Amino acid sequence: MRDSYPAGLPKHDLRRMISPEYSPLCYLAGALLILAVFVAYPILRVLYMSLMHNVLTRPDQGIYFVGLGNFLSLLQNADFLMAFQRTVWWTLLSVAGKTVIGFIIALLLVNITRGKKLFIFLLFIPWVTPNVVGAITWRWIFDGQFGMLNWLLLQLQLISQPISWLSSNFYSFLFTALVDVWVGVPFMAIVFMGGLQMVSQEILESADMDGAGYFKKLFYIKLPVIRPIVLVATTLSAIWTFNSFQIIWPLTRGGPVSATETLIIKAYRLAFGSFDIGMGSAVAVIIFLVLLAFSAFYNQKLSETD
Amino acid sequence: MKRKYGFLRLTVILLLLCLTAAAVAQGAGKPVTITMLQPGLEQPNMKQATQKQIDQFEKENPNIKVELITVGWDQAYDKLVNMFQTKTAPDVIYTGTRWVVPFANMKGILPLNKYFPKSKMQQFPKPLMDSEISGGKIYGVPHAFSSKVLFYRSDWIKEPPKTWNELIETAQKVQKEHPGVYGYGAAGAKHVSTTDQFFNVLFSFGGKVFDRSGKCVLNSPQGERALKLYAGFHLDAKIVPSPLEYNREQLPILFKQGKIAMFECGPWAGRMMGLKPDNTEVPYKMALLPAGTEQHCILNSDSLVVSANSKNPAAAWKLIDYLTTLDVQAEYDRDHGLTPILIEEAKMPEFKDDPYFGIFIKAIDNGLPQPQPAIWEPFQDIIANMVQEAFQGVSPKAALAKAVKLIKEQQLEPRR
Repeated sequence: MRDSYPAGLPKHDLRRMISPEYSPLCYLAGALLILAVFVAYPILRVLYMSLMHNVLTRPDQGIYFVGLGNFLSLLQNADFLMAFQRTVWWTLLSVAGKTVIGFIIALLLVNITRGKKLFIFLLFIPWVTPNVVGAITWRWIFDGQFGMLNWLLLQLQLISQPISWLSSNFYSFLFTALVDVWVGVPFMAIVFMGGLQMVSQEILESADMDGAGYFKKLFYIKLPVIRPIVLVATTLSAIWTFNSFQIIWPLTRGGPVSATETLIIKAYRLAFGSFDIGMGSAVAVIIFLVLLAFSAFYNQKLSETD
Repeated sequence: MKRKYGFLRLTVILLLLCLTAAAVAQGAGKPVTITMLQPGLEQPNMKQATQKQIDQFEKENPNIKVELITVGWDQAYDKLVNMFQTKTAPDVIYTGTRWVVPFANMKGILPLNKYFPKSKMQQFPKPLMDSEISGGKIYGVPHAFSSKVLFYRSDWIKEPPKTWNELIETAQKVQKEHPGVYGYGAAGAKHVSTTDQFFNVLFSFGGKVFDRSGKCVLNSPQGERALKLYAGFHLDAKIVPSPLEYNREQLPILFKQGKIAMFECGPWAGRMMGLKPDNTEVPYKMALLPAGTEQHCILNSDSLVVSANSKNPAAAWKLIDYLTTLDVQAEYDRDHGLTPILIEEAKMPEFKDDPYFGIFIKAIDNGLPQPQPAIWEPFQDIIANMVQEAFQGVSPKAALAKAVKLIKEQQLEPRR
């Protein structure tokens, strides 16, 4: 067989390109096909739809090309800009919460020797609980009339009458982020714990001998060592949080009014509430671009870590 | 010779006629299977009642098999729109009447003028039939119907309030006498019932959502007065528990638990509570909804429609026709605790003389149909947001103006 492909065959010759011996194309074809069908096509389709006016429930309005019209409308729309801003704040709040709590838990876990497995098992419960189940459970906890939170605060006499938490713009924003923190903490804690275990005991012992206290060791040894891990974990978490739908939707559906309407909720409402596929796709493309930027940052940090 | 050929010709014609008749007979006798989608049948005891009627229909029409499928009400609209797009919609669809006109505009459902005789149309209250019409064509048959009344604790309230002001006074009196109890329950969650309950107040002040030409006139003085009153239940009078958390369907539960003294609902509330009015635990009575400057109540219904991609529209109609005949409809309404939908049905002693159903039948007299925006779902979102904003203290005028602006921007005004 090899004889039929002389070594001098031009690089871009079709026979060479499809040859299982000279070209990797045959081996990659299956994976490329899957990626093309399940990744490239949907993305290209959404990009295409974002340039169209297409409201499924309004065939009378017709389907036509609007170019960047949908994007321009969004950028001039105060509600959309508010949703964008809200998404950024919500993501920052949630990621900050996950990072700080996750790091504290990791610090506590890395130092214990007895019952570590039990703690890790308990820690994983929010992570393995289906998000929707978790969110519905929390909705009952926050319920204004029957909720456990109100009951507890009333018992402790911290409030004099039940508070309707999810009816308030402030509390609904805060509590949806808190539930997202609850779901995301285990991942962060485990990743940070892995990082902390990498910190050399010898360096820590040397620091002890030099008289460094707990916080000095934390800020001057542990944190610098696990910095790349923190960066990668928070970037990943930011990508997931920015796109978090499964917490907000069952808890508040973006309400009250639009207090918890993040971009992903807006995209869903536009695409599957109003069936405005053009505008829904435009919001999805904007989310895609933001996440692409996050991903580029993540890749850069990952390569720095390597 | 001529006679011989004439005889031959006659024989051939007769033979062809016989063959055609046989083919038609065979076609008519050919069993067909149709699909019917009814949302909400996953709820306890819901499927049996519909299935029982379908079994009876199949017995009477042995050549038509009906496959009954269901989906939750929350997902029904999305699912149906997707089905229309992919031309996979079931033959018969049980749908909220608020979706009939949008579905007709999407060309997802068939006009039924060909099948629906005038004599049958006249059996339904006019406001309900009006909601089934789009572009002069009729698209649905009303099947499940509810008028709304005020449920009140008869051991706490001797005389039911007749006006909204009386309702506030009564509620405050109950709250004073029974600490921990809210006098009234109002819907404010993102749910269709929030729009209904607000519209009941709006209509009672003579307000309208759209005028005759289809223009949105929600931001009228009547609209402002209605929204001020509705939000005032929470903000000023403080007679309702956290309204943004509750929709109408949760209020009977609060009532049963003794947390509220009054609420408005359809006749299914009694079944939801599992209590008869004269029970000793939570005794209750019903009255017409309070009036503003006039007394009204919104009339809601669900309808049966035929999908535009049905291959057996005649069989689909046959099923709809059967399900809406007097006896079958009466049985359905009895089983589901619904307001009798047919005019003749409402005259049946079992409904008319029933102390429970009587008031719901009386409420029909002042009933008004739901508004008919071009598309219901975004309209519902806008109205619910408007009510929520008012509950949060945004001025009714500003909330109404914003809602009207959004309705116009999104071209939701009905097409005339």
